[in-house]
Amino acid sequence: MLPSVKLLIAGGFGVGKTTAVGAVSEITPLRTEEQLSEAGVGIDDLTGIEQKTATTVAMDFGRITVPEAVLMLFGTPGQERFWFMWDDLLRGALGAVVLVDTRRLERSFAAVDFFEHRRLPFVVAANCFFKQQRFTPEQIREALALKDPETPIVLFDAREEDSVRDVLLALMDHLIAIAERGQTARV
Amino acid sequence: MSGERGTRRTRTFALTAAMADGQRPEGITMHSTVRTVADPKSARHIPEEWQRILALCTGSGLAVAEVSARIGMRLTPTVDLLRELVAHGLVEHSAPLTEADASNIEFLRRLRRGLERG
Repeated sequence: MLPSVKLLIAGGFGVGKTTAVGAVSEITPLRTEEQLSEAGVGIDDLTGIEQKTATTVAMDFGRITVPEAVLMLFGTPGQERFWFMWDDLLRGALGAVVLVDTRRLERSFAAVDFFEHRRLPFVVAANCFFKQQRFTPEQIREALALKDPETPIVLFDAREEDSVRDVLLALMDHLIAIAERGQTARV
Repeated sequence: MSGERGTRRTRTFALTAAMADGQRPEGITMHSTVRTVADPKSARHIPEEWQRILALCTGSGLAVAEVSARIGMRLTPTVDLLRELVAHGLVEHSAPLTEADASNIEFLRRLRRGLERG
């Protein structure tokens, strides 16, 4: 069996995650569900209320088979507050793509914060509607207040297979650069 | 583990999911690949739900997340079910990518080349 490589496609609601997964996946994207027990998320005091609320979250799943591996794409659920109680979401992930819509940049802040906090390498991909993007990558970098100056920012079209593939290639370049730096550091 | 197609014995009832409880779920995660190793014909006595999974995972195998979506079952119960099928020797799963692979520059470069060609 080919090794599997897990990549996360994240971003806020309505930024094009499902579209992007569908554009590059070799299968029609699937929806995978998970049930999380929401024990006191966002609530300070639950004394006397031991009841847990179960929440169902859904992910988009797609894949790309290359000679070396199967790239598995997981479009993360829109409700980021659940990510913190879902360790399996990040476990084993090689990297992530954070999709942003520059008209609603704030919707992707949570994803950026989350991956920076968990130290998962990611690239930022700004969706261009009708090939239009009013902002430059540098302006987007500043607006997102990215901590790592090396985090790549690419402009793309979530509906175009080649364009989404380029985003994944940018992520691979980023991962290779990090691995090279790590090797230098160890020498 | 791969490349031994057909050499794995069927270990019917060797383990149950209950016995596996409390352990890490044998490395089965949402991005593990599972592949049928049993001959579906010799597995007619097993529950229909299991047979459906065996039929899905023939060939080069399927991601756990994909099995979950295709049988319409949430991830955690799907992982439990697959763990049971592994314990029965009906399917095998590939170990997830190790940390070493994930930071192996040559592997990453090959991956990139493969993605570029596709």
